[in-house]
Amino acid sequence: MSAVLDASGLGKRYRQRWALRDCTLQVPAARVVGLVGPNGAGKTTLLQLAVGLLEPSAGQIAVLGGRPAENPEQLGRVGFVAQDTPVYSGLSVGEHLELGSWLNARFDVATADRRIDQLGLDRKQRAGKLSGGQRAQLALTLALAKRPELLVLDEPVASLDPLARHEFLQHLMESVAEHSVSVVLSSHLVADVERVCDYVIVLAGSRVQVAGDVEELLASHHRLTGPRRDVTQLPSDQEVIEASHTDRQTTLLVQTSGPILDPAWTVEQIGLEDLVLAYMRRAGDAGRTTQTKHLGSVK
Amino acid sequence: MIEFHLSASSGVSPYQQLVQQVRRALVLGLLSAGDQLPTVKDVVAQLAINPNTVLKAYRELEHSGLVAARAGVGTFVTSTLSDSSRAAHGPLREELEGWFGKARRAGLDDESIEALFQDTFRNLDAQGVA
Amino acid sequence: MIRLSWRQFQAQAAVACGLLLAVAILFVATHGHLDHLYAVYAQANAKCNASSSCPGVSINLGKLDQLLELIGTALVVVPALVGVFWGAPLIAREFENGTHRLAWTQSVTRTRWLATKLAVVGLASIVATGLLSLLVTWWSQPIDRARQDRFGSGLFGMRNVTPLGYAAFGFVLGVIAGLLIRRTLPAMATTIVAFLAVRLTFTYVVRPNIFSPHHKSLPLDPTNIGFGSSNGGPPSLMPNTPNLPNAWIYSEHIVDSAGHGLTSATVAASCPSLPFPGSGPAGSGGRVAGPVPGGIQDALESCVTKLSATYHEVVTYQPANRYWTLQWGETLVYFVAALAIAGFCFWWIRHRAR
Repeated sequence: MSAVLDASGLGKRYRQRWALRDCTLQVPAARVVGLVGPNGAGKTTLLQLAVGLLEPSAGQIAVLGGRPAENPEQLGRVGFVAQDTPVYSGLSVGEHLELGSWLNARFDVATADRRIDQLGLDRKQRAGKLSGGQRAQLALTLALAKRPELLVLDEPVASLDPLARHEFLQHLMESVAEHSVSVVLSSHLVADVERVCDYVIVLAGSRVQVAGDVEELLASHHRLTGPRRDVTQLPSDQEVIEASHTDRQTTLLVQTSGPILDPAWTVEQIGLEDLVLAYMRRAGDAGRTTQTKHLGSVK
Repeated sequence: MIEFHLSASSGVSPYQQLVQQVRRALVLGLLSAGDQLPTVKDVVAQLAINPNTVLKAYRELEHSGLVAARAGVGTFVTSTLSDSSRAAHGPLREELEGWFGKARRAGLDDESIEALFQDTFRNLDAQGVA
Repeated sequence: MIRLSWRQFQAQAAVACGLLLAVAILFVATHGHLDHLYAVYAQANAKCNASSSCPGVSINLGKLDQLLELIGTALVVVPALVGVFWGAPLIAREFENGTHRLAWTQSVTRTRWLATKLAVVGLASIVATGLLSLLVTWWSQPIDRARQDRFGSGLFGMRNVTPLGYAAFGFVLGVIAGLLIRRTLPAMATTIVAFLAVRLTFTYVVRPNIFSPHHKSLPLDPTNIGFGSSNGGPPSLMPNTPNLPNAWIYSEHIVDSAGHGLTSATVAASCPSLPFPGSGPAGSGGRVAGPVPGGIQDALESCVTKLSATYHEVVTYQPANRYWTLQWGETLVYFVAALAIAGFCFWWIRHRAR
């Protein structure tokens, strides 16, 4: 399977500031990809580049093998829900479904209708009067009904209450199971990402810090605790992501594909949240050159 | 049909929890041969988790010989735990109750009992015994 | 995309239809009566001109007719309104609400999206303004026939085809303001200012100079000259409007054979018996608009006769037969400008709005 998203050296600049820089990714298909990072790290920029709302300032990006928003066919293969789920507040829920069928060659009105009923939305109600959760569900229904191969969601649940968030993710996962659509969603809630994503990209400081299958990332990152020592003494295939020392003890987060043989270390598994935080902290150190890590080949 | 639930704080990965819950259901007789497991779609629609997680759990159960997937239909229980092992439940339960009594009388509180049990179980597991 | 553009435009279309309908009903209902009124006026005018004791006939329109006439003048505002309320929000509102991110990720390209919105609402603007112009021009026929002033700066933009050009231009101006500024209210304000600037410049700087005006020399007519001052200057002889029906009169001056204008001092020297300020009984302050007091009338006529030996009247004007050329020409210019701006909008949305 080819990559759903293939970026090389991708960058976007607004006047003087680079919102995204040196972004190189090959995201495999049939995944639910989580894009995590602090606010302002470039998540929205990357996603908007992927759907053609922005043009790159540097590098290139290919989505499903084509240039984003190149033509109606390409547009039809990618679904998008922007941050804050914009809807036409003057149009009703039903009219939004009509909008979908007018503006898309392939639009599954029947399924969308069923879903609207399931969600308990009133077709006649103006979209401007919907709650945040209802609006998000409407936007998701619209995006899924065009039967895209890739669905891109920009912080879809950021401003939703816990119940609305759970219901949104339920809807999303059910659709993924039913239609095997690839998903890329951005979030600053790692707990959600942990739940639904099987591939994660950490974006911090406008750069990709790490990207890979969640399973492989968790298998290759370990927390080592042991007596205080100098980190430059470690074997070369162990890369230190984060190190902290007390006067007696050293704690490291290392990435390695090989076994850890030194008996002085206590080796622990690490959770996704801790892994993400470590990479985000590493990026936060100003003035350090960061390396991009890619785990998991394109399958 | 059984229903799954996930505990975020149990320290056990989601797919493991699903596997455990199926096994538990088999042990307790909630599932018998021929019963269908919930479809992947229904599980993710309820739990809001990645479908691959469910697929992985079902694959492992299939690997253990407990379930079998029928293309286009669903995943079905093929065998329950053998009757002999079912028969062993009664005496084993009695022995366990005795052991718990002893631990209590030795002054262990709930947490210590659980820690002791888990630690022993894991060590045995690592040695390939349990 | 056509259906969506139309659906988004529905509320505004309804308002426009309602207003047009109301105006149409009012105009149709009163047209017959207005026609009759002016027919009577024409008869009375003819009689008055034939008689020597009749200074003039004037017509007073009733309150309703005055109101309707006012609506007719509102036609000059309509293209600006179209630009501000239909053009500026067209794209700006989408940017403001972020809905362009919804629209541009369906399966239509932005070019098609913009083209359809422009076409649907642009066409509606032109048609609505055209209908209004049709109604106003038709209803005002009796008035225009009587006043014969449709070529003047005021009425030229409120009759026939020019409003269509203005509407197209105003609309597209609003669209590009919204496209570049991305906020509805600032775009609306910018549209008004820009539209006014263009309209005023074209009306007062360009249009008078498209064709060179004609000049006509007339002898001074003692019965057709008044005495007074305009703009608060020193009093002098004031020529009345010459009889050039439906021409566009730029100006009328009294000059001598060398082209020098008639000054107040010259009049004072030649005709001391006229009421200059500080000499004899007070005269009227502004233009003589009514019958001149008996004694003054004779003094005035003899003054004019005296001065007509050396002075004559020169009228600068566009002849009436240039009216339609300028109407179609100006409409075409505004349409072409609108197309050019629309073209720029397409370029911008394709290459720069990212």
